[in-house]
Amino acid sequence: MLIGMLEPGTEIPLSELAGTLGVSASQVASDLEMLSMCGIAPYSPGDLVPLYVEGDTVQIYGAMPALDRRVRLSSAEARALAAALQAAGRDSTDPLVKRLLHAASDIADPGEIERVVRTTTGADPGTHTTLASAARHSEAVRITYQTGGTETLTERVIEPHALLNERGVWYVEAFCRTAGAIRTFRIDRVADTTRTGEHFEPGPISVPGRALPTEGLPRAVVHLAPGVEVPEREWPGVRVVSENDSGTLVEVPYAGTGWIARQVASFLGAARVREPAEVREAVAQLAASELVALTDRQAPAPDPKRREISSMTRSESRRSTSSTGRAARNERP
Amino acid sequence: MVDAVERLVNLALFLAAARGPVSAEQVRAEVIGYPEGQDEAAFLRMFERDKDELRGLGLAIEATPDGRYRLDAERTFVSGLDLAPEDEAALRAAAVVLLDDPSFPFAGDLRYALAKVSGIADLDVPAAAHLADEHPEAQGETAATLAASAAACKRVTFVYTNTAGRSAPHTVEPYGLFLNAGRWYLVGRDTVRQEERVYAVARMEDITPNTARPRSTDFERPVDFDVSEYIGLPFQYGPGELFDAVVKFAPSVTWRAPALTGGAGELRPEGDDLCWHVTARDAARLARWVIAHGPGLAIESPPEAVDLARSGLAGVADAHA
Repeated sequence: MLIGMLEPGTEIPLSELAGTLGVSASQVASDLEMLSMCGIAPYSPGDLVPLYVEGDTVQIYGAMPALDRRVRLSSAEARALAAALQAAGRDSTDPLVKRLLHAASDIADPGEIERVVRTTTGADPGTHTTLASAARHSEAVRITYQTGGTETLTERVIEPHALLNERGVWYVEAFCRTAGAIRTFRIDRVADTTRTGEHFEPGPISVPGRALPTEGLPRAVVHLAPGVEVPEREWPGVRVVSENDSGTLVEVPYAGTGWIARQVASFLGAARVREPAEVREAVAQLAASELVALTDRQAPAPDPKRREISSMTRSESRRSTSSTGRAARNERP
Repeated sequence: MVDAVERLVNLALFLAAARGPVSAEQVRAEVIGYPEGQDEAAFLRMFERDKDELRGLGLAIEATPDGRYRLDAERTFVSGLDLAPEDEAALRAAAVVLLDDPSFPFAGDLRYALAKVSGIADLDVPAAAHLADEHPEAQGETAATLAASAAACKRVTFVYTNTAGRSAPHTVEPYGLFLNAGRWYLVGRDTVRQEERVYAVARMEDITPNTARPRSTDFERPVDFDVSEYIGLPFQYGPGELFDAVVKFAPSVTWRAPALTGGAGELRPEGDDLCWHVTARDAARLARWVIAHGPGLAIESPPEAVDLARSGLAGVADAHA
């Protein structure tokens, strides 16, 4: 492994090699010392690996006796690379995956690996790459983003600081110039990205431990009907307040009412918000608008009775109709 | 005394520098590291292990019909891999983040793979990953063991605790692994029950690969096996009968369809909409999933699922009026 990284006539900091191989600099120094004693018969000075360690660097003063090209991936390494690329949305049909595995391994068909190991993800590889590259080079990006739980697409310019993967879902943590604050965006809700070419001064943000910190967020009090399991994994930071025969009372941190309203509504009546009022209202509105949408889809022609639904819901429904082209669908028999 | 790593490097250099096939005797005579005075059988065993070790690192060592050995340069060295800067960035963005994720079972191999295809480069992509969130270290280690057994086609035994809390020993032929919503799963054939089953890795204990006869396989994976066929959405699990469902994506959200559906079922354009034809087992869970992942999604069929969504939403509206 090390030999393939040692280019004749170069001087390489031990820390670079250590970082690449994931070991300490002293371990690299020790391995290099050993390597300098390896070679081919008759093991005269010209037949040994031509290097010496001096201080914090290694000097490669001649050509390797052999193995002077990069060695292909072992099957385990190819599997690791394919699994990692899958996790970023690049499956076996991705051109980069095909090219990498074809050139660097014996595995002619990346699909073979995919049929045995699968790391699913919802990320679009192009979006992921753009945001990762922008984070690395401190470049602002214009994104079109669908806010959680709503149909609204907003344009924002963000300064990406870090990428995070939680349970297979990718997020980008960024300073949002539109909001004037740090925000975490789900990458699978980014509809479009455009690099701006504007560079920003990276702030003191380091890679945070988790994508969804819940400290400091407002909390909704939600009652779950008897027998309903507390969705601990779906509701980050959820806390049980009380539990008895009449059900479970929980506190749920939420960043926006759109997300929590949709979560509560998805329990189809088995979850009920006690407070605050803004979340109760959001749930009520969401349920009403989803009912309208369901009715629209089932009915071939507009039903006058639907007009009895609250005016706010109707206007929201109209907005979404015009933006999504539902009106055209409704005209079909 | 030359240590084992030094002997391996010497052997690799010797094979790479050789102008033709070499015999085991030549190896013994010219490669520093094989103990002097070692008997023939012990030397051959050591040489066999060394060849396997080097093959595991990517060196294609072949035996010739006359019992000698050669390094197949074409299969050993990378050729034609010239990554453009954007490819390099994409590769690093995708892969580097997983190096420090304890739940990614292939981090060690990934590091070497990156070093081989991408050489020395700074690894400062600011990123972190937690692919699995429950006992990530344990899941990562177990998944690595199972993946190795699956690759070698060796049986594994483990104690499995099912969702009812009952624990029992299992002997399984591991076919493949998948990650879903923060958990690793094993798909394999239970040798006692004689059927393919899916096991949550986090529910396994005392995992023991079969180490007997390491150079032979215990089973053959079915040729048409595809682990992705076992990855289900929440409404595809359960005891219910399988039924066909159709979920419509409104034009404004069709761009989300590939990510949301994860390759399950089939997406068909219908007018301005996109219709997702997918199988399900649990109509209530289907209704819940569609509402949770909206807006812009609606169940078209079956009518029972539509009714469940409608009555459920009416209940939600009443409860929050």
